[in-house]
Amino acid sequence: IAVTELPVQQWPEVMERLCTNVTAPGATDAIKEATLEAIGYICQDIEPDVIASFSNNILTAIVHGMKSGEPNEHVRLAATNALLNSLEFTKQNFDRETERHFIMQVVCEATQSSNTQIKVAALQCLVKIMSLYYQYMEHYMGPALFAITLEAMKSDSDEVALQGIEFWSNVCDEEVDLAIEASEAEEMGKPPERTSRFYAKGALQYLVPVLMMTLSKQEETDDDDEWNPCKAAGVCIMLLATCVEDDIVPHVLPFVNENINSSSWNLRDAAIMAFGSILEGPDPTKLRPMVEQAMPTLINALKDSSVVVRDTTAWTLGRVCELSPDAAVNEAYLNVLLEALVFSLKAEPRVAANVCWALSSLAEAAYEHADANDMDGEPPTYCLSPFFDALVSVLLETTDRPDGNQCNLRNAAYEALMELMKNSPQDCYSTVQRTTIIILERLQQVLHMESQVQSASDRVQVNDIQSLLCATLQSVLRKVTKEDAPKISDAIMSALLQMFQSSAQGKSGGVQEDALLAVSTLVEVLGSSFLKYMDAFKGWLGMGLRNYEVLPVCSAAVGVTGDICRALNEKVEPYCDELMELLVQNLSNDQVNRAVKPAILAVFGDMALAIGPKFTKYLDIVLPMLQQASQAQVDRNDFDMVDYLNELRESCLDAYTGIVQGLKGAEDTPNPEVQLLREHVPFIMSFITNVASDDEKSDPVVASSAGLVGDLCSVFNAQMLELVEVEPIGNLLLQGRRSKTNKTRTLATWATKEIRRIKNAF
Amino acid sequence: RFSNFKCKTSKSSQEARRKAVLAARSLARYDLLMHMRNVDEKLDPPTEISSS
Repeated sequence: IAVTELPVQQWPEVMERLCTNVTAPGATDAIKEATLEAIGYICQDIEPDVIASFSNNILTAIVHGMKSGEPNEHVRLAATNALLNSLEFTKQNFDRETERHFIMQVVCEATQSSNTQIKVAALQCLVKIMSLYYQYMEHYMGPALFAITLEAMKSDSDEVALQGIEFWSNVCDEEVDLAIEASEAEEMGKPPERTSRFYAKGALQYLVPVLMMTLSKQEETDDDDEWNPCKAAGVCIMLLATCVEDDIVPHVLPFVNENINSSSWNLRDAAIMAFGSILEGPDPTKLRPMVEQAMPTLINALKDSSVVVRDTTAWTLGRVCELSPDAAVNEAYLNVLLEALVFSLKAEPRVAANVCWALSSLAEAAYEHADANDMDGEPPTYCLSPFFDALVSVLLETTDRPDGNQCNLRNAAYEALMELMKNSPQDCYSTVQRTTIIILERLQQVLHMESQVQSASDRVQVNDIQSLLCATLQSVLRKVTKEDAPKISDAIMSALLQMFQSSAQGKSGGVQEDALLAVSTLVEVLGSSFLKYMDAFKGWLGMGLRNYEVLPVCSAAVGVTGDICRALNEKVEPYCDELMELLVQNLSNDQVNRAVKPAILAVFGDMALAIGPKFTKYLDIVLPMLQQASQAQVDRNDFDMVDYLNELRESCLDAYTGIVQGLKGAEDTPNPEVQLLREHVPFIMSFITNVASDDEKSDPVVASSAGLVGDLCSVFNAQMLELVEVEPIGNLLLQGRRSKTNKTRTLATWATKEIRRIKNAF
Repeated sequence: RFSNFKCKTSKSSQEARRKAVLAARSLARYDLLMHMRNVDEKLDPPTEISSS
């Protein structure tokens, strides 16, 4: 009730009354405990601003209940939990040194309680205090926090140990953020607002041995879903490595060397886990010799007698392939590594799923290492070429494993297959063709199974498989040549249409989205040849556009509409009235998620480009909509809304660009219809000038603004001079020419040249 | 933290597929517009020129 009423200035006396309940001399333990719980719940749920003015009273009551002199443990526990929930709005108390000392003293004392629940709650307070008030912790770290948390990490109680580890994981998170802030500040030539005290680096020599000990306490029967100190230690080492970078290596490596061949599976597993955990953070070039040296042992460990070790080894090899690919993609190890990985694809699902991930990373690394004849082209061959066909076959087999639904194995196998397709060179094309046919056959098989689906879990599985097959289709379609695409497009489109039919009945948004994304790829590959499918597809496209309740489906449908416009060009015209009506309906509908609206605006530009002067009939409806959207304002304190504003503006600019270009036409002499825009030019330029003056404009907004300025100049020539020769536009183009993005530089340079051209002509 | 334990990067999740399609679309739009503007990025490399 307090959480509801306090924000609207009702029940103003409640907090004072509750606080008095705790501090009044005659208060019973039961009243104190119940009151502290109530304070805790209120603090947990209320907006901090609402309650900040009561923070002194609340803290007094909480500290009163937390003090080591409080004889009742229930009261002390309730008070400690209440403190945990109040930390976010007690900043003003933490800002005052004496109050801060007092709070820290009470919390540190509570961590020494013999009652585990109080100890854990107090440690949770320390974890949160470290995140919220890092800058104030220097005074307490050496004398208290370091010893308290290190002791907690060593505790036999899992709950206590978890909080000790969590404290140091949080320190790493904070210090990584501070390092990023420091480098950003340096880039801007400013001192950082907050600085790191490098606690993680300083504590490394004490933390690592405890974490190694905790890592080796795993049980063979550990539950995958259970969070325990062993897993927390693994994550903490990864965070430490990211935070202290090269410094972690000498602390961890001796443990790895000593235990990687131990007779105890716990120690072997801990050694491999520790090794895998430090692969991200340290300088890859310094890691490389160490990783290469470890490769034979790791490859051998894939056949370890313990499934836990095999699982960790497969994960570590996946990390090697992703983070230190040079150690895997080389003549010395590639053959033997592939042999071991393929062998392990037949292992337990948890091992095989990690192997699939390793193969995904390997495919990507191999493709990046390949010598391309030209920068944009596909390389003729690469180091996986001799194994490619066999790898694809064994992955296809893996996707069919009866235990594929365990440990995400089926998804992982399909993902690996997709990565292999995406990263395939020219000499693997015949396998890509073969895979396309197999995927298509599978799609048809799974569609035939539709009628046999009975249980909800069967439905989930069939939907998942359909999604994965659609996704795999996208990856193969992107590789199929322009000549081959029409040979398979009928079969693909027929399967996709059948999928829309069945998913519409089952209302599976995930499948519909993936099917629409697959259509997008097909449209891209076929170009104007997609026309022959339009009559069959337009109904499903309309259904997707109307399905605004499922945002991804509606979004995908809007995207496909734009793709079709670009692919069909003027041939899309017969479908435009219907599509335009649906797009406009969505744009005007308040129930349609705002996330989809920028994409709709951009499609107006695609359609205008496609049908050219025939778009004039839509100008009366589209231009006012663009005018309204381009005047949108958002809360500048909300970063997400600032991002949204940039997205919306970019779409408005793209729409205007499409309309200008479409009405103008591709010929040297502009179509007369483009003059219909003349009266809108002052508004468009005031919009661009407004955008140009915005300090928070994104690089794509700069690019699109520059492009539109250039387009308007190329159409309206000298009439543009007084509108473009203003400081904000000059600054915008200068910013664009100095952009790190090639596209933005190209557009800004071109726009600048257009301005210069009309100036010279004038 | 739990999701970071033995975490793997999913390269082809639905979100990743969405992003790939969006990136392809953005590139296709850009290429089409540059074609309409008769500007070739490769033949007409950007150079720093005076704005005045």
